[in-house]
Amino acid sequence: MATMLAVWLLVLLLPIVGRAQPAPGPIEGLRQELERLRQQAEESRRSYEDQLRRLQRRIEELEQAERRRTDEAARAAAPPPPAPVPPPALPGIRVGGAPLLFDISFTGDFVGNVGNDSRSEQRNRFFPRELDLALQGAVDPYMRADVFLELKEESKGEEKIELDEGYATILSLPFGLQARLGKFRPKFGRLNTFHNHDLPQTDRPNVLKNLFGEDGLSEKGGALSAILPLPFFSEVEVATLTGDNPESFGRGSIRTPLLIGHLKSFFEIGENSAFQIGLSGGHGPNVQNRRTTLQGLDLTYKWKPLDRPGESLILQAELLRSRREVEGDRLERYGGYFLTQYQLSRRWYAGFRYDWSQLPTERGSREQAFSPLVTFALSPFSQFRLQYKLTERLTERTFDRDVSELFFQFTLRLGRERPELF
Amino acid sequence: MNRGPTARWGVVATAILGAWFLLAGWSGPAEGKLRVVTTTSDLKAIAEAVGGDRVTVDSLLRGYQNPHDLEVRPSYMLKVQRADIFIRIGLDHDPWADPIVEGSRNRNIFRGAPGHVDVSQGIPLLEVPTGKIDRSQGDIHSFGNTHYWLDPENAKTIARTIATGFQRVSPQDAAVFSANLQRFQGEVERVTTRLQQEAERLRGVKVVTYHSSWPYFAQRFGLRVVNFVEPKPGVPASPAHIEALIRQMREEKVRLLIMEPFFSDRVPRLVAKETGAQLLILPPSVGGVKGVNTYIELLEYDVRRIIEALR
Repeated sequence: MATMLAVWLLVLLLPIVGRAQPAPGPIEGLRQELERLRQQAEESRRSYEDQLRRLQRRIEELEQAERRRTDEAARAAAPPPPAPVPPPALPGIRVGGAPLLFDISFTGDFVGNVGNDSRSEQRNRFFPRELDLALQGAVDPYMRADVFLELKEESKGEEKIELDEGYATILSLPFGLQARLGKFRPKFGRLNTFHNHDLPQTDRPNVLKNLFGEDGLSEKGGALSAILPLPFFSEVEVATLTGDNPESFGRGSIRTPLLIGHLKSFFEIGENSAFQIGLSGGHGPNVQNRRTTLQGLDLTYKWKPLDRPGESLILQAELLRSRREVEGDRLERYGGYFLTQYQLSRRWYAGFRYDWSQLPTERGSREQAFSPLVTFALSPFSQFRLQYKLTERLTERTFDRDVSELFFQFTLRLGRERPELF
Repeated sequence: MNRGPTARWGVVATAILGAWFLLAGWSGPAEGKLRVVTTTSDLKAIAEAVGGDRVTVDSLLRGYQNPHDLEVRPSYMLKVQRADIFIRIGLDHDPWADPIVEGSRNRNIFRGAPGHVDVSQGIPLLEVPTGKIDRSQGDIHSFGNTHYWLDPENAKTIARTIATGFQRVSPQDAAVFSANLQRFQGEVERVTTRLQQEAERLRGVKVVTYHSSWPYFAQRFGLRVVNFVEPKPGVPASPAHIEALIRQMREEKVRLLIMEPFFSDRVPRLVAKETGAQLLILPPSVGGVKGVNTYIELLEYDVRRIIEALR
């Protein structure tokens, strides 16, 4: 610094020195010395200016980096810019650019059956039991529609498409009533409203197959239901149906309809358990134009801890009585089942069912069956099930040999997850 | 007078129908309060803050329940049958609410009715899927992540939507709801600012969570969620995924694994043990643990537990 001051002092004094009249010899030497000092001063100035510019650039770089850091922190702390809220309910199909405002889903249910049941047409086969297309949604503010179309293989190589259910629900009528109109599964017992792929076992309990067939009772007509004004949930449904079901009814006329009634009550036992009891009744003409009367009792207990989704237990039973008038006689038959299912983890379920049933038309005949099973749910949308079934049949004529069957079931679902109903 | 059996049945049927119509028309003790049912405990807490003493609120879900795993019980229909207002998270968070609402036969709370309040309106969503959406991505939320109540800024929007719903159904109490709304929003603002200051050291901290329940919370308080125990939403972890997760957590030095109280802790404990990370069971909802009964308490509890875990 001191050197710099000295140099600048000399530079400033130079003109004054130059105006004096120096002696020629020493003056020339002094001039040369001054010239040298001036060059040194110029070099120093350039050097300091370069250094200054470098420092300024460095300061700017540091300032820019600091600004970037501050901006990033501010962006992280600030709420995100508002994203456009997506339109509601996009089921994946568009018509003319607008989304279809109902849900579409597909369920595939494949069953493999190895056994020695001579009565089964699908013995030793692997076949699509149900390929089910469901269309569900609101018709208007007052009504919703549910349509289930099924493609199924009923016997070897014979596939057909049928309407399993297709009905409208009028959601709210005066006095808290609700109505269904179309083809639907009436509430009778506990499992009748379940489609085959939703059953907790591969096959329907024997008593339900004997009374309603492999697919249960699905009829055309109308039903009216209401929640009873009680402190606990209690619902009653009364249905008037054509009665096409050939096993128990089959007259198929609206002039002499099949009447079905169902009353169920539901009780919560603490937060984790619940119990439901149902009473059912049915009365209608059968194929012989005489009357069939059905009565049913169903009981369901379920334990499902709210804070542990991977655990649950179901205990369920149905008892049914059928009184069928035939020409010159009245056949009275009983049957029932008990099933249990325990959920071991998020994916694994183990279950067991016991069946006991009298056969509807064969006098003095009855059967019982034992069915252990295990289910593995890969995700909420696909599952595999293995079920063994040992059936013992006793008829009036002979004691059938035991029937052993091994079922393998694979179920998949495309579309929205259906809510789990109690 | 000797009546025949038909006349006797007629009298009985008339009596039953008369009692039925009377009871069906009876709506219980009104007490001048709005009857509110919410799908989640968080909405219940916010509705109570906005409604004050003018509402009674019930929630279908408990705070310690998995919202994606609700079993529809018939008793829920009874619960919402007499509700004036039904409040839901919406999008595809609570699809189980539809059969409950429709089964209740209560036309005041059907979709589109004044008493049906969907609080997802106006919420800026995160993780909105782009391109083709299908189940190969797991049980994906097709509209975006639905756990938006965990950002306090969104809670203020939710409160405003609820207040609008209350005012629509009960305009005579509009001023009360408006004052309560301002009070709630102010409190959320103050608490959030304070918690953000306390959580300054969390900024940029890497965490792994069980399910993607925390993106809104993480964004607000500066956490970086780098992976999940579930390989895809709703899909349990496979051995290969667990192995890859452990490797990633070791490499990236992830010190914290957050899980919700309603999942099995078997896999998270294994991962935490293998990586040395701390496993923190954190409620994403009000009522998820004892003592967390309001939205403010939920925020404070979650932020402070994370700060303590990383201390």
